[in-house]
Amino acid sequence: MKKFLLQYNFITILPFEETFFHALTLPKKIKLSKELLKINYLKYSPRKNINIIGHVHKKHLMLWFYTKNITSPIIVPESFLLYKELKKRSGNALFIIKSSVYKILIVKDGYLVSAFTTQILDDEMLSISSDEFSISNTIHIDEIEYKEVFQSAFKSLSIEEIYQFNQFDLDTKTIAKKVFEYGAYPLSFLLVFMMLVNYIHGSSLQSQIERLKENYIAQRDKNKKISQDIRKHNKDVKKWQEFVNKELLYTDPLTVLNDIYKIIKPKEKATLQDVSVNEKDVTLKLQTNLSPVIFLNRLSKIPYIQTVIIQNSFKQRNGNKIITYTIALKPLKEL
Amino acid sequence: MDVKKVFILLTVLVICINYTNYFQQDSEKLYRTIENLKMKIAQGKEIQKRKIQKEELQVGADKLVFDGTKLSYSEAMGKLQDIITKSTQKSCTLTKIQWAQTPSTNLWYDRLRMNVSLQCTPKDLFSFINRLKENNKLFVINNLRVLRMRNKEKLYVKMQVMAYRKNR
Repeated sequence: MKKFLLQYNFITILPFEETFFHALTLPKKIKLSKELLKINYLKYSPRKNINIIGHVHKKHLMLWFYTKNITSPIIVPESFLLYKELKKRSGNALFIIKSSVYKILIVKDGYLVSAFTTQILDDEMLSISSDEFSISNTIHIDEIEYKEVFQSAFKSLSIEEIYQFNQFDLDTKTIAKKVFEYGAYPLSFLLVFMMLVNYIHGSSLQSQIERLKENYIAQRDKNKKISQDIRKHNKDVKKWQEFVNKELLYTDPLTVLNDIYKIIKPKEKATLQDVSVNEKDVTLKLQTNLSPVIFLNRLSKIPYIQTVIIQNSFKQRNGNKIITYTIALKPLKEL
Repeated sequence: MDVKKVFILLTVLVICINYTNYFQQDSEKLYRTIENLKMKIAQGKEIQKRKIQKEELQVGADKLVFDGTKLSYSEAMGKLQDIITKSTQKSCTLTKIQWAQTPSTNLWYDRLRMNVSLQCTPKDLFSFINRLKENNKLFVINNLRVLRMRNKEKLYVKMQVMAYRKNR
């Protein structure tokens, strides 16, 4: 956007060598109009019939005087651009920029305190300048670096800074009045237009809904019989699902019995004496001379059995043991 | 300032605000309604496209329970007893059959409970169950107890056979 403004002469960069710079410290931060600047600070100019640009940063007032007649609404001094960029890069210093002339900038405490040009670089003059502002750091910038600094400074120029360098004073009251004067009819028209668009859009949606409703009702009548059957089917399915969830909670006792019989291998000396299955609780009495743990492990492997406990184990006169197992079954819905 | 312009602008503003507050339709709501209707129409089309036969929608589970319109509770219990008795023939010895208490439920079905005691071999026990299942009704076995009989190669089996009757 800045390039566009520059290209179409909305912004003019005021050359360093065409300005006379002067810096002041204000008692407090104030907003200065073009007229105020002229009345108060034109006296600092070395020439007559001169233009002035001011920029206030905190309490620091920077003034640029120039003779050229510039019609652009925004005028940005080159020394300001260079100062911003060089301060960002190197802080406080005395900068000597080599171009067609020598451009000298002195930045102290973060502010531009002096900016001037000279044809010949005089060491004594530089020494006086640096002594005057107590600046010990001197930085030389060659022509290539100068161009790069300038480009970079222009790129980083903010909208706020551009606004601060504008050359026309905006009277908000007048602007509001003008806007109202010229904007009343267009604004009214715009509002009416928006309402109209909104109304048409709403009506079109409404008519679309009506059309879809008609379609839906026609289709519903056509599908009435099958829809009723589907609803009945869904109701029946739900009813039977509830029945299953209520009545068939655990594995069928006969399946349990069948699987318990299978834990005894054909040639093993073991007999089931008593099996009782009551919902999830299963009690099992087994007569054997083998280790109770063998059957415990086999029972544990049955997928629907949750826990198996050896409730007791006692030895009979014939040497066989009677082992009582207590088993808890998993609910069917967990399987 | 032109009073006429101000008046026109204010009038339009008042109309605009009132229109927005009281007459403007909620387009979000209208869009939602359109979406819902489109979805319902699509579902309807899908139903028409699939050409669902009535038979597909029959659950067919009703035949698993006794029909309450044809059989009273007592008749259904009698039928159950008959089925159990017939199923034990040629396999087990039915030593006891007893009707359990008449249930009172608010459900759409009655539980028909029959306490049964049998004497049979393990193989015959499963023959009995298989013959019971041939009746195409749902039988649920509860409180099963199987004891090995002394000095006999038979089992003493106690169980509660439960069937269901649709009451509405």
